[in-house]
Amino acid sequence: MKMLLEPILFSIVAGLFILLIPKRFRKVAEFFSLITSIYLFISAIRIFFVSPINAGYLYVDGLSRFIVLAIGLFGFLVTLYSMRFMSSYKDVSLYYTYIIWTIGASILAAISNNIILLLVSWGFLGFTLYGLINISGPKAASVSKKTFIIIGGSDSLMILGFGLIWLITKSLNLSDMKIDINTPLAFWAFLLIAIGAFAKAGAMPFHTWIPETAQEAPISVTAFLPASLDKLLGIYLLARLALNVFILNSFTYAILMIVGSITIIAAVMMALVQHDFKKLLGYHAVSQVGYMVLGIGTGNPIGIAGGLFHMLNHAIYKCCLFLSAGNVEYKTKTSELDNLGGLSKIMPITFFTTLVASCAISGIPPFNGFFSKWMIYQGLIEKGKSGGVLWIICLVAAMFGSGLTLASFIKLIHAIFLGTPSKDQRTKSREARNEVSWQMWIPAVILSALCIVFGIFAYKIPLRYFIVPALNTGLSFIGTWPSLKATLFLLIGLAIGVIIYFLGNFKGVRVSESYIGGEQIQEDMRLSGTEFYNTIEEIGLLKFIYKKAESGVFDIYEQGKSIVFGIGGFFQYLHNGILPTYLVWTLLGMIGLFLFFLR
Amino acid sequence: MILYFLCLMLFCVGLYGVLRKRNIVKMIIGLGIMEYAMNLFFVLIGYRFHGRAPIDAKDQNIFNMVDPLPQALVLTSIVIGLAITALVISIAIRIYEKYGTFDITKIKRLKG
Repeated sequence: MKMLLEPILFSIVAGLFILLIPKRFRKVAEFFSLITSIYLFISAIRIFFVSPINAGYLYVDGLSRFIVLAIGLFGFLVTLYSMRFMSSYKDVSLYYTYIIWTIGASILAAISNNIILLLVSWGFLGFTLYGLINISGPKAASVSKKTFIIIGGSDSLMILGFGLIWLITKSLNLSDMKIDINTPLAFWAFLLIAIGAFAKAGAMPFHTWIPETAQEAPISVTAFLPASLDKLLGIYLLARLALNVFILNSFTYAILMIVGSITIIAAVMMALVQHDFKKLLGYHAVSQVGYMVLGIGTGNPIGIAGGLFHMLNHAIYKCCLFLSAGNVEYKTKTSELDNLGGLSKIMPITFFTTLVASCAISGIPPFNGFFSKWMIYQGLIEKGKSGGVLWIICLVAAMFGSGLTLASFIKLIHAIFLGTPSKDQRTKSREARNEVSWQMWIPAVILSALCIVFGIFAYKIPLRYFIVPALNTGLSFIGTWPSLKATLFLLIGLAIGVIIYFLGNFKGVRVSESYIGGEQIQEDMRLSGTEFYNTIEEIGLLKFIYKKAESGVFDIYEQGKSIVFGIGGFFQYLHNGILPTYLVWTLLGMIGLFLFFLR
Repeated sequence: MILYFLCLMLFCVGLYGVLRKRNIVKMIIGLGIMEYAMNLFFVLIGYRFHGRAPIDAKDQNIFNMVDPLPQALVLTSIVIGLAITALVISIAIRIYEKYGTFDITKIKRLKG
C-alpha cells in the first residue's frame, strides 16, 4: 500500500517543486525532472514485480501492473527526449511539471480500484493534456480547447456511467463488480463508460482531437500522451470493463467490433492523403486504436490478448515514430513532406528507428506489430466459429487497413528519408550534416529495439510476463508462428539477397540522372512521396467523402459546435442591445408569470 | 368603474412612452406619467363620494369617511417619485455627455 502511494505523492510534490524553479535555472529543472522520472520508472518496476494486492482503494493485478510499467518507461523516455527537444521553448518548468503530474496521475488511474479515485485521476489527466498542448503557444489554443471539450465531455458521460454502476451494484470498488449487461441500465452504463474510454484512446466518433493535437502540440507531448499514455489508459479501461466489470453479450461485442473496423478504415484513408507527417502519424494513432477495440470486441481470450498486446506494441512503435519525426522536425524545422527528402544519409539512426517502427506498425514480420495483429486475426476467426457474417467484414477491414498502413508508410519513408531532397532542403542540410544529439536518438533506439525484441521473442517475453497474467484464462493459438525460426529464415533470405547483390551486378550498377526525354532536368523537378496516392483522392465517391471530411462533417466537435452556435445564434439575435426591447421582454415575462400564478 | 379604466389608460400611455420612444427624455416623461397614474389609482381606491375628510375632532360623529391610508402613502410616493426623476435625469445627462445622443437605440453597449 505504501509502495503504491509513494510514487504518486512524490510526483505531485516534485511537480510543484519544479514549478517553483525560476526560469533562469533551466538546467536545474531539467535535471530534477529527469531524476524524478527515473525514480517513477523504478517505482513502476517495483510495482510490476509485486504480487497482486487488493488494498481497498488501490489494487494491483496482472492487467494494471504492466500498464504501470509501460507508463513509467514512456515517462522516462519522453523526459529524456525533452531535455534537448524542448530547448527552444521558454516556459520549460511548467512543461516538466505537467509531464511529472501526468505520470503520477496515470499510475494512479491504472492502480485505482475505487471508481471515484479513477475518475479524479482521469479528469486530472484531461487537465494536464490541456496544459501540455497549450505549451506551444497561442496557435495551439483552439486545438487545446477542442481537446479539452471532447475529453471533458466524454469524462462527464463516464461519470454518468459510473453513477449508473453505483445504482446497480451499490458498490464503489471495481473488483467487487460482476454486472450482467442484459438489463438496459447496465447496457447504458457500459456504453457511457466506453465513450469515455473511446475518447481517451481516440476511437472513431471521438478521434478528431488527435490529428490536430499531433499537428500543433510539441512532438514530445504527442508522443507522450495521445500516442502512448492515452492509448494505454483508454484501452486499459475498456479491457477492465470487458474482463472484470461486465459480462458482455453478443450485441455489445458487435458494437465494439463495428466501431473498431470503421476506425481502422476511415482513419487510415485519411492518413493516406496527408501532406504533413505529424498529421499523418496522428491519423495512424487513431487507426491503430481500431485494432485494439476490434481485438477486445472479439470477446475470446486470444482476441483480447491480441488487443492488449497491440496496445502495448502500438504505444512502443508510435512513440518511436513520433520521437523520430521530432528528430526530423528539430533538424529541418519543417513538417511538410513536400519540403523534405534524402535525409537517410544525414540522419542514419533516425532513419533506422523510423524504418523499424514503420515495419512494425504495418504488420511486417518479424516485428511486434505483426504478432499482435496476427493474434487479433486469430481472435476474429475464433469468433467466426460461432457463425455470423460480421467477423468476415471486420477481418477484411483489418487486413485491408493493415495494407493501407503499409502504403502510407512507404510514402512517409520515401518522402522524408529517400527521394530527392528539395532545393532549400539541400542548402539546409549542407549546413548541418549530422545526427541529432544523443538525448534525442537514444529513446527512439530503445523503443525500436523493443519493437524487434517483442516481435522475435513474442512468446518468451511480452506474452509470458505481460499479457497472459492480465487475462484470467490461458491462451490457445489457432495457427503457429515460430517467431525465432521465421526470423532466422528472414535473415538468411536477406543475407542471400545481399550476397547475390554483391556477387552479381555490383560492378555493373550504373547510377545516372533521371531521363525525361532529353530535356534538361530542372532544379525543382523531383519525385516527392506526396504524389503517390493522389489518384485515390480523384475517385468519384472518395473525392466527395474527402471533401466532406475536410470541412468537418464527420467531426463530432464541429457538429456539436454548429448546434451550440445555432441555438446561441437565436439568442444572440434576440439580444439586440436596445434597452426598450429588454423592457418589453421583462413585461411579457411578468405578464406570463402573473397569468401562471394568479390565475 | 370608468374612472379606473381611464386610470389604466393613463398608465398605458406612460408605458407606451417608456417602451416605444427612442428619446430618453420622452421615456422619462413616460415614467412620470406612469407614476401619476399609480398615484391616482391609489387615491381613487380610498376615495368615497360625498364623504368627508378624516379629521378627528370633539363632538363630531365620524361616518362616511374617506380612507386616509392611501393618501398618506401617495404623499410619500410623490416624494419618492421626485427623487427617482431626479436620479433618472442625472443619469440621462451623464449618458448624453458620454455618448453625445439621447437616442437609446444608438447606445448598444449591451449587444454581445
